[in-house]
Amino acid sequence: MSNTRLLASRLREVEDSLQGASDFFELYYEQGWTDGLPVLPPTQAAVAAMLRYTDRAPDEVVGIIPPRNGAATVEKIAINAVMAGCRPEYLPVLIAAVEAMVQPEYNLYGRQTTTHPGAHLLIVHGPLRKELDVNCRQNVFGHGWRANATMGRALRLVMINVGGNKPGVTDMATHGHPGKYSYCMGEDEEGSPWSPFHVDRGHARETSAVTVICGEAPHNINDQVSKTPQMYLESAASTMATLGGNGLYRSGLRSEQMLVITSESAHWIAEHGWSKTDVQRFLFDTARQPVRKLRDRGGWGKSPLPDFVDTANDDAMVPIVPRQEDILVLVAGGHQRHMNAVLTAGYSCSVTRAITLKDGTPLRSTQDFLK
Amino acid sequence: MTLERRGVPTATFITHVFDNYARGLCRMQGLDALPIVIIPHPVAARPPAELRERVRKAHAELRAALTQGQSRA
Repeated sequence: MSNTRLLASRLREVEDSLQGASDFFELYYEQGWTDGLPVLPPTQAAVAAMLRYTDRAPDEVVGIIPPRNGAATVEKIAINAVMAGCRPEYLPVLIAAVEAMVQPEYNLYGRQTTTHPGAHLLIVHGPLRKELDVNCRQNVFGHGWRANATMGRALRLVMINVGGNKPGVTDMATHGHPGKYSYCMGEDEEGSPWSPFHVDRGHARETSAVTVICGEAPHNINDQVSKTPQMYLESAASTMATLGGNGLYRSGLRSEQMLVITSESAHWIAEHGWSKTDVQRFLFDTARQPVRKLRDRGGWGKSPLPDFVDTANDDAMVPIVPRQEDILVLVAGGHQRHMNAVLTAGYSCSVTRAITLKDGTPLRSTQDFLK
Repeated sequence: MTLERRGVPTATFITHVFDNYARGLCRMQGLDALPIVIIPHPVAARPPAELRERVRKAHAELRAALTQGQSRA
């Protein structure tokens, strides 16, 4: 975290020779190779230092990034990671994230070009989250942690420089959201009373993994007073079933919506005997709106609704996802009883992928590459 | 674009504010000559009579796209 003492006491003066860094940024900005913020020079030494943290060849193609269909090689990911300010040992996380983003169910082409304000939220699970100091607690969506700030940013730069993502030209987001600069968090597994997210998806607890989900900006849910999990989660359900969200109008398609709750809240809910599945079931049943409120509004009529919804019945209740397991529940955040809904467009599903060596063996520590 | 590549005649409707976007995507995908029919923006929540008039005006372009477009080559 920051220490302003050095600045206040002027213990360090900035060398004139570092002016080159500003000139470098101007050059890259003019070329359209940045997100608008200053980037670091991807010198050969810096890129080589990053490439030490992979056993893959620099020219190995990790994924093809639409809409330009550029080849995201290991080296290009490393270059963008250096530019974003990443530490070299973040590279294996970024490679896994790019692999995840190019899976068909993620629908990267649509996510790169849509008018919807989706940003690629990178969630880090397992021991590497701790090793790389990915924040999963206070201010988890906020500033202050290098891993969160730069890994999400590196993915955005890959989208720009490899995939041809250009606001107003190929990226037609009507408003976008600040997470398009960086959107990265850890899962607070140690603080969760339930199984970790990546374990639910079939990975071993000691395996590190990433999940990518294309999400809107997190929407806070503040409930300090409810005395039962039902009342508390009704507050979440109300926010998740907002009339302006995509979920209610797209729930006949494969889709997901996510709720992030703190360790404190999760433990309190668990003390009432609720499993994670109970939370998912409750939100699936409760985050709904009646047909009468949805008809001829929002995205009505553009996508199918679930078969079990009788659209001729004004009182039929419409869910935000097709199945209860499509409500994703993640434990993260600091103290107090805030929650956050991360809503999606509904045309994309999250992907979880292990962080591995080239042969598929789960990576235990980034330091293994240096042995 | 996928249908055009398979030889199926298509006409892609866009509103004018998406002109640069559509042509940029076509260039990136190597389909510069994809038949695109441009209509005025916006479309959402406009009166039906106005929309009918726009469709009538776009009809000739639509026919040209489907009969003289890239996939006819």
